[in-house]
Parts: sequence; structure tokens; C-alpha cells
Amino acid sequence: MQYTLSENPNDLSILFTGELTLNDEETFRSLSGEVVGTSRSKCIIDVTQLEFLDSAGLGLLLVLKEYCDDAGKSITLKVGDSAVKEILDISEFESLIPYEDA
Amino acid sequence: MNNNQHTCIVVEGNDELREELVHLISAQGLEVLECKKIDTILPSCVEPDVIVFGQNVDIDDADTVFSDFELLIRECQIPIATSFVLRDQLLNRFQEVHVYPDVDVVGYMARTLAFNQVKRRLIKEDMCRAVQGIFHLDEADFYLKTVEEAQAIALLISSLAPAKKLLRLGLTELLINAVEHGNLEIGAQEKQRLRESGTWMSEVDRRLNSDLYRDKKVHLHLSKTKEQLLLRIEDEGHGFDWQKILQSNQDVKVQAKSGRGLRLAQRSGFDEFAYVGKGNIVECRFAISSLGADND
Repeated sequence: MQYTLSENPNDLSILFTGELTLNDEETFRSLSGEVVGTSRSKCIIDVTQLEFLDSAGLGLLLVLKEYCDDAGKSITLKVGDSAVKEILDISEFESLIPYEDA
Repeated sequence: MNNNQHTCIVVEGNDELREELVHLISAQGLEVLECKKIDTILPSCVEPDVIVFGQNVDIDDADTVFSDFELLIRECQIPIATSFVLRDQLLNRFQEVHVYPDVDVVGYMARTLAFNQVKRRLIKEDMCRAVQGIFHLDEADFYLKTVEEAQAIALLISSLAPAKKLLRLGLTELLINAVEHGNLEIGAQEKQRLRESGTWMSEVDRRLNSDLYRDKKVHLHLSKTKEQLLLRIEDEGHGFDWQKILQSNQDVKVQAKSGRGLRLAQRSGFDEFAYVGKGNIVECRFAISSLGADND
């Protein structure tokens, strides 16, 4: 997995590319710390360019949510017509991290 | 057109600038097709290696309607070289956009991007051919020990199915469960604790190298008919109370911290999915694609 962090006036956007799997545990935890360190109160996780996601990857998104919750930040998921939309849907992820409007 | 020559399409509305771009790129040995607009209909045999935009092209800011030309660029991930003027509009619609600082260098840039694109295409074609080999298997046995091997085998086998991503997910979860929970005896609670302390993968590696676990293997037996694939995954662990877990999973959301992998596997498109005996064997079945390894 690779990511791009963009600090916008009102939010922080994290665009993921590639595959988010158990191989990304370490990178993701350090990213979560970085996200919490910013001053933006809203975090948008953009998975529109992500190619694959496994259960460990889903768990990492939940870790990021926990970090944001603890820091008082809101978090949303930008899904669009992503290749991982079906995986997120069967995981009922929208009930945990709300989707951004397309 | 010559199918073996590197091909570039120049998109520019101004006749004079378009001619200059065509001249500079042709001088680098590329075959050049030219058009004025992005919704031009291309001959069906054309798959360019690079697209060069000038400065005067109308590009719709809306990101929902795409011409066939644009779909081709996206589908084939064709690199784009553009002037700075169109950079932001193109970045809104395409992934690989390069800005040329001056029109004088556009020929060199187009050539480099075209060469790289051809290399990428060849690698992709080689991989597709390699994966096609699995279509000729009627029966096979795989033996694996690590999570990386589990990931690789899940990716390979899922290429047979129409819903590749979902099936890859299901197989990945089952095979990793067999390695982690079965052979390496890492329980759900323990895994959760290891993940929270950031030591999960190092503990997996430690056990894989220990005398107690290093010889344990997961056995995957595959048998194929014209219509379906049958898989039997057997680990060397003690099994688990699968009836109780599967029943309780019906009422638990997938996001719950532990047991997420098995819940996902249950929903990942197997036509049949069942644990056997004490729970160290799982059998599953799914319909296979008659179209071969198409993209998901």
C-alpha cells in the first residue's frame, strides 16, 4: 500500500493506492500517528484507487478510526466505484465509518 | 498503422501547435496519430503507448462522463504528457499525468514514456500467460507454511473465478487462518493482543522458525471440473468449535475485532463452504469462469 496525505483547509485527506493487507501493519500504525498529529478535525480516507483489501486491512482502517475518535476527529470513507467497494459492502463498513457523498 | 512501432496520440485544438508537437515526436521515431478533441473516435486497433496533450483542449470538469478515448486511457493506464495548462484537469480524470516544462522536450518525454509503457505491458502479458497455466490443472496439491505463501496461492486460485476479488478475500482468510490459528496455534484473543502491541507479524515469524512449528504445513487440495472448483484446506492444528463460531457469526457484524476473517470468508462468494470434523479441515466450492483470467 502507498498513500498520499493532503492537508486541505477544512480536512485531511489520505489517498490509498495498491493493496491494504496484513503486510501494511507497521506503515499504517505510523500513518495513524501522523494523522492524529495534524490540526484538521476531519479525516477523509480515500480508497477509490485501492485495488484490494483483506480482513487485516479492514482492521487497520478501524485502528485509524480509533486513533481519530480518541483525538476527537471525525472520519469518513470515500469509496466511489472503487475496486474494494464490494469488500467494504459485505463487511458492512458503512455502519462503522460513514461514506463520503460521491 | 504499424502495430510494432511505438505509437503516440497528440491531442491539440490549435493546428499550428499540433503540427509542431507531431513533428517533435515523429522525430523521435514514434508513429503519431493526431486529433483535436478528447472525444475523438479512434480506430479499434489502436492502443497508443503515450498520449500528448498540448494547451488547447476542452476537458470536461465533471468526472462522470467519459468518451471511449478516455476510457481506453484509463483501462490501459496509458501515460499522459501535458503542458502545465491542462495539468489539473487531466489529473482529475487520469492517474499517470506528466508535465513537460517546455515544448522542446516533448519528443524525448513521449519516447521515454512510450518505452516504459511497452515494458509494463509486456510484464503484464507475461503474468497473464503464467496465470493461464492454472486453467489446465484438473487436480493439484499445494503445501504452504507462511502467510505470504497463503496470499500468493489465494491470488493465483482466485484468478479462476468470475468474482476474483471477493474470492481472493475468502481464500486468503481461510488459508491465513489455517496457518495462524491452525498450525501456529495463535488464538483469536492472542492475535488481537499481538496486533495491539504491534508484535503480531514478529510473533508469526518467531513461531515459523521454532522447532515446535517449523515443519507444519497447510495442505490445499484442488480439483476442477468444467463448471466448478473444489478446494479442501487442511492444517495440522487441533481444530476449533466451528459449529458454535459459525452459528454465532450469523448475528455478529463483520467489523468485530476478533474472528473477522472467518466472517468475511462466509460472505465472500463460495457456493458451498463447510468445516469438517474437529475443524482443521475446510471444504469449499465455487463456480469457475469460462472466460479465463479476465480482469476483475
